[in-house]
Amino acid sequence: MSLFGGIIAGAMSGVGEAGKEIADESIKMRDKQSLLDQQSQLELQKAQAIEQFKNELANEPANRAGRAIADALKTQVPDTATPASPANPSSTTHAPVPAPQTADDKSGPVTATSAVMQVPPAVQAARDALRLTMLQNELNDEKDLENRARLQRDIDRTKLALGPSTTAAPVVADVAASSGDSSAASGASGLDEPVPVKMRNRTQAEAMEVARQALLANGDLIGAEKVKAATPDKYIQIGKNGLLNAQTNEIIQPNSATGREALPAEAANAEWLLKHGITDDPKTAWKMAHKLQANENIGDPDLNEKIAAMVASGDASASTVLGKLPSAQKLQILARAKEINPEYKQQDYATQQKTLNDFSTGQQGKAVNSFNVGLAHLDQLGKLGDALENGNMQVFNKIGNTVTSWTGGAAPTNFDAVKHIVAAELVKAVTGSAGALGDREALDATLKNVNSPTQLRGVVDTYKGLMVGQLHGLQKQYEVGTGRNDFHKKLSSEAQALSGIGGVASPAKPTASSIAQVGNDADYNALPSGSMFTGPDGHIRRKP
Amino acid sequence: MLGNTQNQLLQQTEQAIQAKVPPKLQDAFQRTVKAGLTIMYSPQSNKLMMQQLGKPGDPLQNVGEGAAKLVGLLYRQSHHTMPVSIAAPAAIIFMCEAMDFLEQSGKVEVTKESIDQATQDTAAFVLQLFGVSQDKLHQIVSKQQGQSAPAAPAQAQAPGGIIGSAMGGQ
Repeated sequence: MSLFGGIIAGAMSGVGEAGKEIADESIKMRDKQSLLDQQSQLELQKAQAIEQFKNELANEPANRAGRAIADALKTQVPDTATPASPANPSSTTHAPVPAPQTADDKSGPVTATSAVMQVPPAVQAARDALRLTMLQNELNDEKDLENRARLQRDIDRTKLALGPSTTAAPVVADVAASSGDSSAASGASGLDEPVPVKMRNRTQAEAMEVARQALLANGDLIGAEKVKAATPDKYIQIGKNGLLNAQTNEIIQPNSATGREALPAEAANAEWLLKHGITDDPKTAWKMAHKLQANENIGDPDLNEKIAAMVASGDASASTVLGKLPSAQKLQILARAKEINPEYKQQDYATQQKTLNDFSTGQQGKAVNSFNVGLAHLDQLGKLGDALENGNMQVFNKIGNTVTSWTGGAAPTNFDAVKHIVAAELVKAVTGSAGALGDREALDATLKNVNSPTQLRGVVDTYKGLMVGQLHGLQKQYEVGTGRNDFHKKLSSEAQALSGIGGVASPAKPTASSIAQVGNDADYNALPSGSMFTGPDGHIRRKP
Repeated sequence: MLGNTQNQLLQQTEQAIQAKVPPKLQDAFQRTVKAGLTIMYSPQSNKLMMQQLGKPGDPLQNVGEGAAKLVGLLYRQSHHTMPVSIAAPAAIIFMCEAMDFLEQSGKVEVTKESIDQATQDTAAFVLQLFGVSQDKLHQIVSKQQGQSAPAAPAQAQAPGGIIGSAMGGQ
C-alpha cells in the first residue's frame, strides 16, 4: 500500500473506533430496555397464569370425574372368547369395559392397571414366558452381584407364575394366534420340544418376532412419522437419556439399554409394551422397543430430502452427516442423493474438497487472483498505450488517472512511464502465477527491447492471451476436480469478458492468434522491427 | 432480580443462589433462567407447569420434580451446550418461582421449612435426572466419610409412574 493510502487508512480507523463506541453504548441501552420489556411481559403472563390455575383448581373435582370416565372407556383387555381375524386387527383382543365411575363412587378411581388385570391365562403365560427369556438374558450379561440376585429373584417369581411348563414355544404360538396373526402362529408352532439353554438367543429372537407381529397386528407399532404427525409435542427429551410424556407428565425410564437418546417412536412402543404387560421391566421394554424400531425408523422425510441434496451436491460428506443415523434412514438418503445426482460418488468427496481448497487458498487460487488483477490492469494499460500512440492526450490522461488508483504512483506522462507500469504489472502476474506465464527473466528480456507504443501493445496482448489460456486450463482443472461448473464466479468481470468463461461475450479476445502469424520469409520481412509474431513452429517471438 | 417472586424469603433464596454462581457462568445462568421463566409463563407452554403443580400428592415434591424437568428440558433444547454446573442453581430459581406461584394461587404457604424441603426435593430430582440415584449418592458420601453404607434416610418419596415402579417405590 502507498504512503498516501496508509495515512488515509489510519485516519479512517480512528473514526471507526469512535463510531464503534457509540454503537456499543446504544446497543447496551437497547438491550437494557429490551430486558425491562421482557420482565414486564413475564410478570403479566405470570399473573394471567395464576388466575387460570386458580380456576382450574376450583373446577378440579368435576375434571377428575370426567378423566376417570375417559380412561375407563379407553382401557380395554384381551377377550379370548372372540379371536380376532387378520382382516380386522383393530378389533383384536378386547376385554369387557369396566362400568364408568361417577364422582360419588367410593370404590376408588378406575385405573388402567386394574382394568388390565383381567387378562386371559394364555396371554398372561405368553407375557411371563417373554419376560422370563429377557430376564435370563439379562442375568447372563449382568456382572454386579446385587443386580444378579435381584434378577434371579425375578426369574424365580416368573417361573412360579408360569408353572411347570416353562417352554416359550407353545406359548408363543398361543399369543400369535390370539393376536390374529396366522403367519407367526404357523411359524412358531413347529417348536414343540423344550428349548435348550444354548438356544437362548434364538428364543429371544422368536419372542421379539412375536412381539413385533403382535404390535403390527394391533396397529400399534408407531413409526416416527405417525408419532410426529399425530402427537408432535407428546414427547420431550429430558436430560441425556430421559423422556417426558407431555400429556401425562410422566418421566419415562431413561433408555439405559442403548445409552443414547430415545426416539419418540421408541418411547411410544416401549410405553405400549409396558401398558400391555408384554414386560413389566421398563429397561427390558426399552431394549425391545429399540430393536423393534431400528428397521422402521426412516426419520423426517423433509430433512432426508435436504440431507440428500447436500450430499449429492458435495456440500457435505455422506460419512459425516449419515454416520449416526439408523440404517434404514441412511439407505433412503443415499438412494435419493443418487437420484438427484446420478454422478454422485462418496469417494469423490475428498478429492472435491481438496480441489475446492486449492482454488480457495492454494496455489491455483492465487494464480486465479493474479490473472484477475493482471487482466484488468493490462486491459487499461493497452488502452493507455493506444492513446499515447494516437496522440489522444485527453484519453491518455483520463486512463492515466485510473492507473494511478492502483499503482499509487504519479500519473504517467510519457512512453517510458507507461512501459515501467506495464513491466511492474507483468512481473506481478508472472510471480503471482508461480511461473505459469514463464519466468521473469524472459519477461525482462522481452520488455528491454520494447521501444514504441505499438510494440508495447503487442507485448500486452501477448500476455493477456497467455493469461486467458491459463485461465481456461484452470477452469478445466476445477471442473474435473469438483464436479461443479461455477468457475466463472472466481473471475473478475474483466477476466470473464476477456476469457469468455461464464458465458460473457468477449468483444476482442486478446489471444495468441491476434499476433501476426509468420509462415515464410516474406511475412517476416513485412513486419516492422520490434513486432511480436508467431513463427512456423508456434513459438511467439519478437523481431529485432 | 432474576425471577418474579413476591415473597421475601424466596427473594432472599434467589439472591443467595445467584451469588454462588461463578462470574464466568453468570451470563449462561441468566439466559437459562430467562428461558425457563418464559416456558413457565408463556401462554403456549404454561399448561405443562400447571399440570405438574396441580398433580395430586405433595405439592412441594411436585415443585421439585417440575423444576428438575424444566432444567432437563432446557438442557436438551440447548443441545447439551448448557453448562451442567448451573443446572442445580437454575432449578432452585425455578423452584422458588413455582412456590411463589402456588402461594399466590392459595395452594401452599411459603415458610423456611417448606423452602428447605422443596430445595431438598429439587436437588434429589436434579441428581436423578443426570443419572445419580439417592442410594448411589448416599454410598458415595458414605465412602468419602469412611463409613459403611447405612440404609438411606427418609428422603423425598420416590416419583410416581414408571420410574417409581422401577425403583420399587410404588
